[in-house]
Amino acid sequence: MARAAGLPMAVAGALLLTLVALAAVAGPWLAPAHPDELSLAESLRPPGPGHPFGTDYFGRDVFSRVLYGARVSLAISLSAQLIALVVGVALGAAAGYFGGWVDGAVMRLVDVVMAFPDLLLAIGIAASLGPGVPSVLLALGLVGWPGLCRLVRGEVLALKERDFIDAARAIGAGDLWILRRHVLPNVAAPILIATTLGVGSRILQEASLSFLGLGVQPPAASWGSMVHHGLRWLSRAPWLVIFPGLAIAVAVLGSNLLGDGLRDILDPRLRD
Amino acid sequence: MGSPLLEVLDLRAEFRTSRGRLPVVDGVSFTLDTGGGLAIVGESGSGKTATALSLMRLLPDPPGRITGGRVLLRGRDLLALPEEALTAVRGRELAMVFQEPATALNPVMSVGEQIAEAVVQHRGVARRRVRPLVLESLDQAGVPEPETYLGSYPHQLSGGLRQRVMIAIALACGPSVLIADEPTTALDVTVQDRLLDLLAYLRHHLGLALLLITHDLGVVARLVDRVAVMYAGQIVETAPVAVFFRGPAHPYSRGLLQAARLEAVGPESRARRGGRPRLEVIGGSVPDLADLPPGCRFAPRCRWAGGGGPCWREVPGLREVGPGHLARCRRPGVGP
Repeated sequence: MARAAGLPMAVAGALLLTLVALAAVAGPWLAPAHPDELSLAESLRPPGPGHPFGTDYFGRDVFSRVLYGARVSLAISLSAQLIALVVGVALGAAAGYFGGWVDGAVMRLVDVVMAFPDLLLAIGIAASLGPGVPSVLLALGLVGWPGLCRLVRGEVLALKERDFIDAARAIGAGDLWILRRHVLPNVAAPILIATTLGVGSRILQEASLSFLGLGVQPPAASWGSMVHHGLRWLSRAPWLVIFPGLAIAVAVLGSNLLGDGLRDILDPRLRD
Repeated sequence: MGSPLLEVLDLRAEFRTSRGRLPVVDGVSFTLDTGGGLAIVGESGSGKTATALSLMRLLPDPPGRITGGRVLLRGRDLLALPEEALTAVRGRELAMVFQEPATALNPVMSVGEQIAEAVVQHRGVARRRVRPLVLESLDQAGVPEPETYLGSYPHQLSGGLRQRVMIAIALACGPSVLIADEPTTALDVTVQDRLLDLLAYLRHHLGLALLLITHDLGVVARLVDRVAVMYAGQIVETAPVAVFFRGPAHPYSRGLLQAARLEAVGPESRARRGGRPRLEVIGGSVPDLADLPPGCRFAPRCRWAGGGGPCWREVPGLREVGPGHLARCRRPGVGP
């Protein structure tokens, strides 16, 4: 049953993400204008022909800026999630598999990081490193890994007790071999699901940091910074906030739908 | 004769738990010659599986730990080897077949890949040249038309086939000793029968030494030529199969044999005799390893121990009661 519900969800999510990815990749060809091109004569035009999403105070085309923003937002959130993935899986697998003091040390670190609200920690890290893309990447990566780490550790812990791990050792496999060939492939499904869902959180967090002025710096635009700059004109030109906001919503919804759909499809209890 | 292939001397292992250190393997010794067959028989919790795992140093640690003894394979002490050297022995010299084939195979790896693992690790064969070796071991394990199963995943196979795949993995590197831990317990009776035939065939045709761990005395006579009975972590009796079945010396062994016969006689014939079992069952249960009796560990369940006699005070040693026949009993062979 859940499997049947999962497929359309996953397809819808994948379509939304494809839309966003297309905007990011094909942005330069689709955009009617250069995103940084000023044209004060066309300041704060509402959406209409020539400017489908309207223009901002400097007369820049909002549609073009949203397309370019997709590039920035996706690149940052995907890279941050990749950092979280590598760190989380490596530490989680080590903690679960080796146990003992390794487990103790890693899990205490996880506890410490998780004791802070995600966004607050990200703001703290980004603020202390100074605004800019590298600090956002680091902040989001550091915020993202503990969840994955806990998940992987739990799965590995359960997996370690399975007979086939002993059987692998009985034919002379070493620890790294067992981790790589027997443990990780068996945790692939939950990792995939968590990573997909994580991308959604990363997009949102990147937008939040940029909104607070800690992300990419002008004139480059990410969706979050566009909302930030548009806020001032909210009553006169709501399109400055609405369209980048919609873009954020579409991207987050896409990754959440895909993640939830994958969860239903990959649920081992439904596998034949 | 020369020195034996596998010689286990005074092997000791314990589980460290909140209730203290439990001596799950307590001074176990035996030998296995090339092509020989030994069965370790005992109830659940008697330490037979812990003994097998200790041989390969696979006892889960924690809570398990090997605390003493020697495991000599061709004269080399496995317990003294560094972990890296041990991986070269596992699979290559000593192979193991597990009780539950459904869980001892990796669910996300095809049968062919899993057998190839062993070959690639030990024989240093390139992955693309592995196929014939994989097919050969599947064939040896009695899998019909091996090619059709190479791409199969464990959940697609029947229990009997899975166990044959396990055996194929074990055989893939041409080991000299095969440790089979209750290899047929999880299988249908008809499948059990064919698998036992296979193990007997492998022993006799490949010259594989077989260490069989079982609680089923019925399979013992078919597969091995020596029996060791374990009770509460110790070997209480060891004898050639023929001698053992003719005249077990330890009261526990006699109880086991009688319980096995009772099973064979079945409930109908019991009913015919007026509802009273003609044969004995062993009363009581295995002693708590955390709280062992001071004397013979079997004394509390033994009809011949007497109340408070020497059986209750002194730990009996293994004594020779016949050629190649040892028993851990002060009064071997008493009773009916």
